[in-house]
Amino acid sequence: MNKIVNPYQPSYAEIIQTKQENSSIKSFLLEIPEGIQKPIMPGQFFQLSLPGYGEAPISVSEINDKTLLFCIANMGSFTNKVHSLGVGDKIGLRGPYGNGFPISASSNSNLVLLAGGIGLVPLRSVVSYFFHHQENFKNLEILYGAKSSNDIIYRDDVKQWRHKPNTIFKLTIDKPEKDWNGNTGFVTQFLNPQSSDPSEVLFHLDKDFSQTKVFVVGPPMMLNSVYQALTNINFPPEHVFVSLENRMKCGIGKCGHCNAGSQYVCLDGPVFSWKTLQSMPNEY
Amino acid sequence: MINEIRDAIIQYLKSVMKENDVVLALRSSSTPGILTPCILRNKADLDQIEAGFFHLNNLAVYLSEFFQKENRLSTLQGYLYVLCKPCDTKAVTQMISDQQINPNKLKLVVYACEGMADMKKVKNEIGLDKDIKAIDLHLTELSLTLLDGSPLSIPVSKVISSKCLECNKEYHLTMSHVFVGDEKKWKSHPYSIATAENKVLLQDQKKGKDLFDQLKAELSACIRCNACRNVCHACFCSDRCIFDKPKMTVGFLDKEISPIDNILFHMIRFYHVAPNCTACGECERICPQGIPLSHLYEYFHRLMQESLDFSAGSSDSMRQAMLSYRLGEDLV
Amino acid sequence: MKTYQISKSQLKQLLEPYLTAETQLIAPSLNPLGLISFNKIQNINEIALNTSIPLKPSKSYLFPESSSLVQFDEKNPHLLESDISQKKQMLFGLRPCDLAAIAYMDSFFSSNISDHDYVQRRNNTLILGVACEYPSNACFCTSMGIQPGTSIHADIFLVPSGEDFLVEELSEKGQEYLASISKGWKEASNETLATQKNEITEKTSSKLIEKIDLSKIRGRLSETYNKDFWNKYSEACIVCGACTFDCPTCSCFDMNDSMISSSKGCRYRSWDSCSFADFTLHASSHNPRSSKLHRLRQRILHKFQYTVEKMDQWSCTGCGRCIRVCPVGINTRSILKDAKEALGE
Repeated sequence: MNKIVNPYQPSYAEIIQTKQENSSIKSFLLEIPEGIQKPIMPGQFFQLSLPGYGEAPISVSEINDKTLLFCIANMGSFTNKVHSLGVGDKIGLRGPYGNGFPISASSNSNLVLLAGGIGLVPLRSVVSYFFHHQENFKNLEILYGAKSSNDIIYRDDVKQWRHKPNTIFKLTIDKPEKDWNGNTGFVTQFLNPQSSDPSEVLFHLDKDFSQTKVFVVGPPMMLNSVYQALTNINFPPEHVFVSLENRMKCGIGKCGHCNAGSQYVCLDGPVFSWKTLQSMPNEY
Repeated sequence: MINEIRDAIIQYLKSVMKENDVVLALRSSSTPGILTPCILRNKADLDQIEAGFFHLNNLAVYLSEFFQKENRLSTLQGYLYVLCKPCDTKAVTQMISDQQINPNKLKLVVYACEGMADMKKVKNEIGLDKDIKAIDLHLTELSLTLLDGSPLSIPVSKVISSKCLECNKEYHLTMSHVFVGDEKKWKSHPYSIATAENKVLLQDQKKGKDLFDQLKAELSACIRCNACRNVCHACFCSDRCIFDKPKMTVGFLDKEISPIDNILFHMIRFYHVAPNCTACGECERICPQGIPLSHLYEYFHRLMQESLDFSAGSSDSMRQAMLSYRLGEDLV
Repeated sequence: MKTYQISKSQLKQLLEPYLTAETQLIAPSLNPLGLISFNKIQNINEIALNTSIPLKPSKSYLFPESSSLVQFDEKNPHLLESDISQKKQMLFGLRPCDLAAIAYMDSFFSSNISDHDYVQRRNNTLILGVACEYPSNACFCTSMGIQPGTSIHADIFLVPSGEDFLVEELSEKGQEYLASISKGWKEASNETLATQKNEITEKTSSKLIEKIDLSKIRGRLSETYNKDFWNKYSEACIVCGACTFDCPTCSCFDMNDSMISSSKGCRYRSWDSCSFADFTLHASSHNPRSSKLHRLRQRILHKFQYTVEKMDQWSCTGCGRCIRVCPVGINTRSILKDAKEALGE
C-alpha cells in the first residue's frame, strides 16, 4: 500500500545568517532543505515551526537558488523564540504554500508596489525577482510607508534599489519627526494624479493603466485608504493584487481558520485581486 | 396556570415598558420543548414572550455580554427588564456581588414558577425510536404529539427537573424587581406533586481513589468543547480565559483530550467558579455529551458550603469566599 | 453488484469478522450517559438500530477529537514520524444523511493537499449504511436532496425489509468483503431492492416535520448577508459550539504542540469551532468576525452557500443534530425559511 505523505511534517532548515532590521523585525537566511517543492514564487509563504512552540505562516522575502530569506516580527511566543536563535540553529519549514503574486501574468508590465509597514516583507521578494528577471518587465515603482523612522526595514537594500535602472523608490513615514527631511503622511500621497515626477509610472509612463499591475500589502486601514485612492483615479480593480493577512493554522486549506467566503486564504490566496476581494464577504 | 402566568407577565410588561426600555425574555422556537432567548425593544413584540414549564434557560448569562460587549448599558436610555425564575435571581445577585453587572438599570421580572421540564426525562418517556412533534402543558399533564401523529400524555411529576423537586421556594432580592403572580400563595404551596429523588451521583463517602476513578469514568465522554464554561454565569474571564491558551504559551492545559486532562479541566474550572456557582444547572443541560456536570459540581459545591459557610447568590455585596478571609474562621 | 436477503440472525455473520482484537466494530448503541451514539461494540447485542438517528455522529472515528500529526523525538530531534491507528474498522449503521456527510468529508480531506490522517483512517474503514426508518423531529434530509431509503455513499447498504435485511453491494471493497462471508446467503432482485427503498423513503419522508424547497435560493444565500433576520438567532447564541461538534460535516481544527520534555512531544490537532470568538483572531489582534452575528452567519453561509460555490454541493445533509443539541433552540430550518423569505421566495 502506498505510504500517504504527511503534509504537516516539516523539514528542517539551517540558519546561515541573521540580521536585526528594526526593533521588532529580524531576518533569517535559511538554507533550503531537501524535499522542498520548487519553484518558489514571490508572495508565497511557508509554515515555520519549532517543536514545543508551534507554527506561524511567514512570507518569503527573497528567493535564491539555495537559500530563502524570512523576515520575522516578534509578535508571540513562537516568533519570540525564533528571535533567540542564531547561525547554525535549525527551524522547521513546510511549504511553499499559497498562490503568490501573479508574476507570470505580469510580464511586459510595470509593477507598482505599495507597502505598508511590515507589508514590505513579502513585496521584497517581488523586488528581488524583478532584478533577476528584468527583461520580463518594464518599470518598477516601490512605494513604502513606515510607521516611523525607527520602523524602516531593509535600509541597506533600499540604498541599492534607488540606483537600479527602471526603478523608483519612494518612502514616507506616518508623522513628522525631528531630523526627518523626507516625506510624511500615508503612502497614498504617491498616488497623486498631479505628480510631477516624470519617471512616475501611473501618471506619466502608463497613463491609461493598461500595462501596470499594482501589488499592495499592508494593514487593513492602509488597504482601505489605498482602495479609495485607486478608485478615485479609476484604476482597474482586476489589476490590483492584495496579499491578505489571516489567521492560518494548517496552511493547506483544511483547518478552516482562513476561510473567507468560498476561498481559503492559504490555498486560493494569500494574494487576491481587488475584484475577487469585492466578491468576498464584507468582513474581509 | 402556566399560560396565565405568561399572560400576566406580558400584561405587566406592556403596562410598564417605555420607549427606551429593553426586555430580555424568551420566545418559542421551532424545537419542541425549547425556548429561545430574545431581546425585545418594542411593545408590539411583547406578545412573543413565553414562560413557564419550558423556561429552562438561566438568562443571567446574557447579562455580562449585554454589559461588556454587545450593548454597554451606559448607552441604554431606559431599563433592562429580565425575565427570571426565582432561582435565576441568585445568579443575578451573584453577578452583582462579583461586580460583573450594574444593578442600576436592571429590573427583574420574577414570577410564580411551578417547576421546569427536564427534556431528557421527557425523551426517556417516549422511547428511543420516537420523537416529539409538538408539546404542551395542560395543568399537571404534559400532552405530546409524536412524529407519527400519535398523542401521548405524561404526568408532570415524571418529567419535572430534579432541581425543582428540592426547591424551597425562597429567593432573596434587594435589587429592583417585581413578582408576577400571587407570591403568598406561591410560597405557601409546597411542592408536593412528586417525590424527591436521590440525585447526588457522587456519594459523600467516596474519597481518594474511588472518587478519582468515578470522576475519570464520568468525564471520559468530555470532548472539551467548553460549552459548560460558555454558558456559566460565574465564568466571566471571557476572552482572557486560561483554557483558550494552550500549554505551550501560558496555559495550564493542552486541548488534547485525555482522561487526566478532562478531569483537570473540570476541577480547575470548578474551583475557579466555586464561590460564584449558584447551582443553576445550565452546565449539565447544555453539555452535548450528556455528562451530569451539575451533579458532579454539586459535590464540591457542598464541600465549599460546609467548610466555608458560604452560599453564592444570597447577597449582592458579599466578600468573595475564596478571595478573602476572616481572622477567625469557625469551620476551617 | 449483487443484492442479498438475510435474516436478522444472519446479520451476525456480516458484523462478527470485525469483532477481533485487531479490528473494531463501530455501531449505534446506548452509551453510559443514556444517549445513542456510535460506540465501539464488544457484543452484537449492544447494537441499537431501531432508534431515532443517533445524536452523536460517527465522525470521531475518521476525524478524532484530537490526534497527533507530527511526533518530536528526543533521540532524533528533527526526525518526524506520525502515528495513526492502523486498525481496520467497520462503521455500521450510518444513515443516508451521515453517508452523504462522509462523502463530503472524503472529498474535502483528500482535495488539493491530502490529509494523511483522515485518508489513512478512511482507507482502513469499511462503511455499512442502513436505510432510515426512524427520523427525529429535527431531521430535514429531504430538503437537502437526500432520500432516507437509499444512498450510494457506502461500501454496503442495508435496507430493512420486514423481518429481514436486503444487503446491497455498492463498492468493490464491499463486494470483496461480502464475497468472503456470504456463504449460503439468498440473493434478491434489483426490483425488490428498489421497491423496498422507495417504500422506506416515502414512509420516513412523511414523518419529517417539513420539507423546505431550497432550489430557488441555492447559490443566492450570500444575498442575505445584510438582512435583519440573523440577529434574532445570534442574540440568543451562547457560543457553546455544540452545533459544530455534533455536525457530521464540520471539520475545523486547531493545531498546537504538546511537549513532555524539551524535545519530545507532538504537534496535535483538536476540534475547533468557527462559532468561537477567537477563531479568526489575527496575530495583529484584528478580528474580522468578532461578533456572534458574524460567526453564526458564517457557519450557515459556509454550509449552504460557500461549499455550493466551491464544490457545487451543500455541505449540510439535514441530519438535524445542530437543532437537537442547541440549548437555546436556534433552528437551522427556521434560518433557511427566513432566508427564503428575505430573498422573496
